[in-house]
Order: sequence, then structure tokens, then C-alpha cells
Amino acid sequence: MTGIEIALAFLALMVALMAVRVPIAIAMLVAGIAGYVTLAGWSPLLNHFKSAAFARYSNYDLSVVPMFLLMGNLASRGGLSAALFHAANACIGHFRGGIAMASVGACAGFGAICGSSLATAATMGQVALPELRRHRYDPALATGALAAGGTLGILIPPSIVLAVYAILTEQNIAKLFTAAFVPGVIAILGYMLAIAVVVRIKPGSGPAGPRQTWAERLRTLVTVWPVVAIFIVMLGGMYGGFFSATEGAAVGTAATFVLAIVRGMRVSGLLECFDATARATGMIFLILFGADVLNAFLALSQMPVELANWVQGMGLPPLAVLCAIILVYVFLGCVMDSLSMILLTVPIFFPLVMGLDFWGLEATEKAIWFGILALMVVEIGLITPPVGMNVYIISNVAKDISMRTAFRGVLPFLVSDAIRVLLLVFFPALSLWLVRTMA
Amino acid sequence: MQDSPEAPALRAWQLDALGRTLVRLARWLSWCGGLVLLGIIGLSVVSVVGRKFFDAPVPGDFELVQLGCAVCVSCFLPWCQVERGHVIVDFFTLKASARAKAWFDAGAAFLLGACAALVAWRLALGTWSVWSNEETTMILGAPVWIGYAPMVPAFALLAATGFYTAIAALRR
Repeated sequence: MTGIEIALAFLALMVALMAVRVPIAIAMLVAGIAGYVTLAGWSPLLNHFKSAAFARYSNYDLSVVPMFLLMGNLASRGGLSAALFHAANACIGHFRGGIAMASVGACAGFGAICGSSLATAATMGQVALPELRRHRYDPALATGALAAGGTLGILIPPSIVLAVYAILTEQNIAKLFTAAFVPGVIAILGYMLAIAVVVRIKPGSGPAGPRQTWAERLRTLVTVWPVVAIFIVMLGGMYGGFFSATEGAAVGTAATFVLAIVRGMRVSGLLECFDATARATGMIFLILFGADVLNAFLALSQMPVELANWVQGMGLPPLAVLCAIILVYVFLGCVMDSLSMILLTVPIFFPLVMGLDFWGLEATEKAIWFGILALMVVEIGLITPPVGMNVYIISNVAKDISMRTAFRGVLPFLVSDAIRVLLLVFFPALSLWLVRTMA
Repeated sequence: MQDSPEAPALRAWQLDALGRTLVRLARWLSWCGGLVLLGIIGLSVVSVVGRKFFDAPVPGDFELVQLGCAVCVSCFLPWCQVERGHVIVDFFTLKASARAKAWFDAGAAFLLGACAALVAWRLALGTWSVWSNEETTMILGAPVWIGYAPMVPAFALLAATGFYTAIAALRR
């Protein structure tokens, strides 16, 4: 058998394992181990394993992942998600559909200090859903807005998935975070526009909330200034070269920690934050290790290089290849989580994309642009049927709303997502403009 | 893909003494990991502040962050298994019977245990070799084994929790 055939055989084994409820991380790990042993034998593998886990986990840049997760948990426990929602609601809640728009805005605000979509969806769901229900919002619109709003968690920097992409492709984390900023703002506007369209078609679905006085608006806005300050210091400092991404994450987490204590968190609350952080970190790092071993095997089989050569040799138009990649992501997104998708596909797709010409972009800019594009496409998977993780989390908060209703509510936001992906495909400047300006 | 419906956290099960001990150990270990995480966060902040405002950088801070990161995330792994927090694809088994799912889950937990045991065994040898070679970090000269050593019990506990989950899933 050639290397490619062996690679395909063990990738098939991995898929088979995943299909019978083996955790994605373990499926990758088992397929990686089996493939490695087939190609190179046991003793190189056993030797590799003496240091493989330490080498993977002692990565300086990767330490941003547990930090960002802890920061999100501290912010949520410190009541910042509620403060963000109340501030957004006081400002725009009195418009038709305004409370749903405020939920999206609050998700974006929370996304600015949290790198995870699931955490954003979970915490904002608990805060905003009761308000939306109380004002008799259509359940489909309410759950759709929150599930879609949750995806802003990874799109608005900081973003764990983007940090992992940066490490995999050896790009600058700060530049990628900067590049995600404008597409993130477009996403917020796109989601709000989607809500506006829905309430125009079905006026009863999003009644206006009570109008607040300017004094009340100011009062709620004052409670969220630390979030804005943390975001600006963290991202500004990272980009300005004032500190590394890890140090930025540490400064942001330390500030959020102090804030949570000031807002009344005690030791028991801290331990709960540790529990939640441990759970999410453990999940991510087991996948990281599994993907690491799988990729060591794939590199050994030369499959990614040969695939890239083969695609290049076919002389296909680059846009057709890109469309195929996006479609693969959309399909994978139906059954897999975003981080696993990035870890599984980037080692294969990245050399492929880098070998093609897109709008004459030079290598670094192409890598950044593709990273943002991949990030946006994988987050769509979080809200598509049959198993959108965000939709699942929101309907877990609202037990009486069926998954079917929730998925119906997500549709307008999917249209908004699709338009944004197309925009970015044809106008890479949307992501690169800010990077170029700040350089 | 899901995180846990139908596969409730291990700590919510009716556990025997061994199970309760494993859950408790995993929780303590995750708290230790949390403290290490706070430690590397504090260290990084001190380093930034010292470097930028007082012209007093912490030499080799990133080496300590690296060692600490390895320890911290390893300490988190067993708790994730206790919470059944690992992502699975449940799309293809949505219609399977509860019995079949229990068998699949037991098999999966067993595989996890076996992989973790393999890693723990090799890491133990790895720890021995960096210890006996007296490997140190470049700048600080800190012994590398302090990063390796805590990973061994962490992966061993992950293996034990995996095997225990497998047996307990079948017993249920």
C-alpha cells in the first residue's frame, strides 16, 4: 500500500470510531497510533510518546487557552454577562425586536472577553432568555438569536479556535485577532439586520420593550466599562507589541479575576470556575494531543503534501478549490465541533490553499485571510442541524422549546452567515484592512 | 456532537467507594491545576509590569509558563472525564437502544483508559530520562523534570477514571 492509501484507511478507522461514540480526541489518537505503528513500527512510536504529551502541552502560546477559558468563567460568575445584557437592553430594547438585538450585542460584548462560543451561548442564554420570554418574544426568534449570537464568542477576539489556528500554521496570534475584528463587527450588524427583517415580516415575533431614561442607560453603561477597558488593554497591548498573546491573556484574566472578586465572588465561586475551566480545558487539550499524534502519522504518510501537489497539478481555478473546502467544512460542521474540525483539516487544507493564488495575496496575508474564513465557516457548524452545539445548549436552558423550533429560528441567521462568508471570500480586505492599517 | 445528555457526569452516578475516591482525586487534582494556572497568570502579569514599568523583567518567565502550562492542563484531564466532558459525535447513534449506547460508551471509555495508560507509562520513562540526564531549561536552568513528573499521575488518574467509567457503564 502507498502512504496515501494507508492514510485513507486509518482516517476511515477514525471516522468509524467516532460514529460509535468514541470521543473525537480518542478516535484521532487511536487512528494516529495505529497508523504510526503501521508505517514506522512500535519502537519509534514508544520513543515519540516519551515526550509527545509534554512537548504539546508545554507550548507557550497554547497557555492562552486555559487562561481565556478561566477568564470567561470568571466574567460569567462575576455577573458581567448580566451587566452587559442589561446595558444593551437599556439602550436598544425599546425598538421592535430590540431585546433580541440587545442579546446579540451582549453576546458580542461577552465574546470580547471570552474565547469560546459554547460558554458565550450558555451564559447569555441564562441571562437573556428569561427576559425574551417575559416580553413574549417568538420562541424561535429568541433561541435563534441567542444560538447565533453565541457564535460571536469565537469570532470576536479573543478566540480559542483562532489561537489554535495561529499555532498550527505558525502565524502571529495578535494579527489574526486583529483580522477577526472587522468581520466580527459585520457579523453583529448582520445578525441585527436579520432580526430586523424577521420582525418586519412577523411583527408579533419581537415586541418592543419599555423605553429607558437616559439616566438609566448611563447607569447600566457605567457597569460595563471594565469589560471595554479589559478588551482594549488586552488586544491593544497584544497588537502594539507591548506584551505577548500569553501575557495579554494573563493581564486580561487577572483583571477579570479582580473584577469578579470586587463584584462579590468568594472561594466557592473560584472553585466552581476551576471546575468549569478544568472541564473545558481538558476537552480541548485531549483533542489537541489526539490531533497531534494523528498529524504526526499523516505527515509520515506524506498524504497532505501529495494531495496539495495533486490538486495543484489539476490546474483547477483556486476559487473552485476554496468552495470545495468551504463545503467540506459545512458538512463536517454538521457532526463535529469547531476545534476538532480546525485541528483535523488545517494540516491538510493549509498547504493546499497556500499553494494556490488568491487575489494575488502574499503568503502571510493569505494565511490570515484563510484563517478568518475557516473560523467563520466552522462556527456555522455550531448552529446547523442536526447537531448544532449552540442550539443544543440554548434549548437546554429553555426546556419547553423544541430543537425543531430553535433550528427554525436559526435560519435567518444562517442566511446572514452565508452572505458574510461570500463577502469575505471576494473582499479579503475586510479582514486584512485593519491589519495593514495597524502595521 | 454533544457534551453530555444521556451520558451524565460520573459524579452524578451511584458510585462505590472506589468511584467516589476517583472523583474526589480528580477534583483535587483539577483544583491544583487551577492554582498552577493562577500561578502562571500571576507570573506573566508580574513579568509584564516589571519589564515595562520598572525595567525589571523576570528572567526566563516563559520557561516557567511552559512548565506550568503542561502541569496545569494535565491536571485538568481526569476531571473532564469525570464530568463526561469529552466531545463525541452522537449523530449516528441517535436511534440506538440505551443498551447499545451503554456498550459503545463502555468501549470508548476503555479505549480512553488504554491510551491514557500508554501515555502515562511512556511519560514515566520520559520523566526518568530527563531527570537522569539532568536536563534544564535554557535561561533559568530549571530542571525540566518538574514539568514532566506531575503529568504522570495525571495521566494515570485519567486512565483509572477511564477504566472505571467503562466498568461502571456496563454495571449500570
